[in-house]
Amino acid sequence: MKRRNMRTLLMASACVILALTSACSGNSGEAGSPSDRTGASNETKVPNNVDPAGKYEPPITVTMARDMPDNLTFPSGDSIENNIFTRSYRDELGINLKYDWITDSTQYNEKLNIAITSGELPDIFNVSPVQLKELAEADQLADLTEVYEKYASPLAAEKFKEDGGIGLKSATFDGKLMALPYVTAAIDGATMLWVRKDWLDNLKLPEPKTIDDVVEIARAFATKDPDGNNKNDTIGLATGQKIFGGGGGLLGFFNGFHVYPNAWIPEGEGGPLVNGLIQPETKQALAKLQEMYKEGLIDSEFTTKTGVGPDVIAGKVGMFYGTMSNPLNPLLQSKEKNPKAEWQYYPIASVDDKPAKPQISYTPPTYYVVNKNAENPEALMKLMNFFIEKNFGETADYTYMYDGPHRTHQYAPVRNFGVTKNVDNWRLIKEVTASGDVSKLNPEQKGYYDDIKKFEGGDLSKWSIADIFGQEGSLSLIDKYVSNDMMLVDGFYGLPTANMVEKNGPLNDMALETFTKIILGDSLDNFDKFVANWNKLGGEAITKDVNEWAATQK
Amino acid sequence: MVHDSSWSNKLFQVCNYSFLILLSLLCVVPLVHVLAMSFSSSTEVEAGLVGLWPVDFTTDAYAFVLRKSEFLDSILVTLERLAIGVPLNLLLVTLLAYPLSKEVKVFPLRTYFAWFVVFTMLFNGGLIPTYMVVKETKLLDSIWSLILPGAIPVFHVVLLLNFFRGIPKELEEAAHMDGAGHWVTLFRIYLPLSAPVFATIGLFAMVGHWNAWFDGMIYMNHPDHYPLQTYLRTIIIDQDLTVLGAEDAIRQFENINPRTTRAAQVFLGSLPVLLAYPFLQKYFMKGIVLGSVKG
Repeated sequence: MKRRNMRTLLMASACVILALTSACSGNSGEAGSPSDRTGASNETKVPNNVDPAGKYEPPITVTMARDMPDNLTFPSGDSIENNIFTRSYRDELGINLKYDWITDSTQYNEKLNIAITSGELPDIFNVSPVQLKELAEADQLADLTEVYEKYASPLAAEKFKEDGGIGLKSATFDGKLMALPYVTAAIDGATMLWVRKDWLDNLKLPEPKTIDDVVEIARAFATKDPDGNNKNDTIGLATGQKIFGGGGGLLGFFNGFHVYPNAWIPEGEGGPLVNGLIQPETKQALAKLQEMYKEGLIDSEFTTKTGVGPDVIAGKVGMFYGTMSNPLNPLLQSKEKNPKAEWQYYPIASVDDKPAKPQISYTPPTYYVVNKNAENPEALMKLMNFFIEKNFGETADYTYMYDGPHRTHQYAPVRNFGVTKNVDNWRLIKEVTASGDVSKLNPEQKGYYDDIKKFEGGDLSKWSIADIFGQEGSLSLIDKYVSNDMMLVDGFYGLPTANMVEKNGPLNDMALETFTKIILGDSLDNFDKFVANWNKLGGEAITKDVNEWAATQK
Repeated sequence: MVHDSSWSNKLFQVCNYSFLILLSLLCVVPLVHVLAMSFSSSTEVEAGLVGLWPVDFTTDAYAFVLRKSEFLDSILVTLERLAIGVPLNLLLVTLLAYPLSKEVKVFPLRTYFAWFVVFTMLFNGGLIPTYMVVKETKLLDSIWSLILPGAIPVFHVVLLLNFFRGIPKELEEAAHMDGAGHWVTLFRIYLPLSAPVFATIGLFAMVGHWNAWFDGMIYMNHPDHYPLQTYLRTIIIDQDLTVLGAEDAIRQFENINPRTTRAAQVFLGSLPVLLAYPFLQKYFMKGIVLGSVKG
């Protein structure tokens, strides 16, 4: 008797719980969709004025979600919700910005996923490529095709074209533009080889022009006591455990063998796209690395290190593959610790007489999207126009970029800098250094220019800016890469396919593990096994996806 | 314990102690390392030259952290959470455990309620439904979203319930004979006798509230409202600088949290719990064992 009662009760409570939860989700579905609040229809509304910089009368309110960059500082009295951008939006555009939620940048994705699942999306927000694909396929986003055509200012359109239109293409689904890409400055990530010039001179070594030179220099650095402290404590070629990384990894080394891990390159001229990871040249690169490791030319403990920074600062490293921004970190700290350290960059060395091309990818890291129920989808384009105009246009005002120590540009929830900003700055600074006509520089460029002058006057703390923006700075190499078309651009720039989302992680783990083990001494034949496994475990399917995608781009 | 001085026993003792010492070292060494980093100069830390002893001793990191408003704000949020959350936990757990500790004769529906409570221990709505409930009850972005959803930890109820059952029934009967109702019996007889178990669940509740970070992340809509651990997580996770755009590539590096200040914040963040544990530990052991054995 008792037991039966019990069972009835359990069932009854189960029913109640079911009823409660279903009622709950039904209810929130209604409450959550802004369409009920606003009564907006799905088609893009024809607005009352089509001026890209026009002001809304009466003002509109736009809700957004926001990821706060680390360590953001504000002039006193200002906050993320009340600053130079929000006030200008209100006064010049008639847009009142309201943040539904604000979160730290490291937690944005998780928080956004919760918002997506629970159907609580703001009007405008930024998404990762995977989220963009999901939302677009679930028909949650506004079609921005018309918005872009009508409202993009000429200057903004120019910025969106700097990557060859790759960003916009990647955000286009069946001919409809579903998002504005954050155009990435991919060229700034091109790898270069950083070498201790003072060590080269100590040992009277030549500059690294070929892979053989690199090996030779690494050997001398590792064995001939380049720092002259009579201790065997120096590393020839340093790398962290992420060997496919551009900064502090071995990507530049692989590129020197014309190997492009995880970039999609045409097989032969105009052939189908293949992954650079599994090409025969990769095996040669691995063989060389294995040889170098065995001889002690590569850091013997690289598998335990997350990056090269600590060893570089400690003065143990003679050479590593990095990027143009390395003078800020870790090279400046290295100079602080040992002012005698002289760091010089070189183009990545090639294994043969063909010049090596650093690989880059223009795939945008993030996209700006509009909720399909938002009443004013064109507001996104207006915010974007505004940002670009205030930073690069005729009416540019430096306070929208920096205000003293405050990075004001980060206050803007919608940003775009284009691809070539840093190189453009470098070019202009070079021109002005020759002509002396400082009036041509905008305040940001003037800041760099002044820092360079201060360094030349003896202020060592400005070394890093001088070593980037100076005439012989690291950007001069980027300029050379760009002007001579010496970069290999990833042939795939679509959104991740289902196979990629599911399988890229395990495939990359497998590649990293296999390659690391081979460098540490495993048989080279494991590479062939790896290629077979890679294809079997999803690589083949991904290759098919990529080529199907490529066919749609022609 | 029987003291056996045989050879094999000695060997066991040696192995046992070495193992336990090793285990303790595993726990202590990272903490000492963090402490050493927090008192070292930034360059030495970045160069990876700091082990278990500070190099180039300085308190700059602490001076910086103690002026850092985000850090102090998050501590205030956590203190508020503790001040409201822990007493509320204890009160609700007591009020639930007392009736459930009675026999079916005294409290006929006891079994059903017990099942109802235990059910929540085994099954829950999952992340999104829970989030929806918190949202629809308008708790989002308030301190209550950190307190109410977990206000009754069922495990604590079970501990306390079993402890209450271990108290001789005669005491309760005597109290009833003298005219005490349930409230008086609970607060004047049971509670004073339950100090060890209260210390235990109080400590559990405190540590739980102190360490929780996930709820802060999903329920709070503004970084100013983050509790301490949510905030600490944001500074410890390395920003992936490879995905940053041109805007950040240049000056962003100048704004990275130095590792020394991270270390200082992590150490300060774990200090209160470190200090509280030794004092509550003696009750802690007693409380758990009593609660579980006499069930």
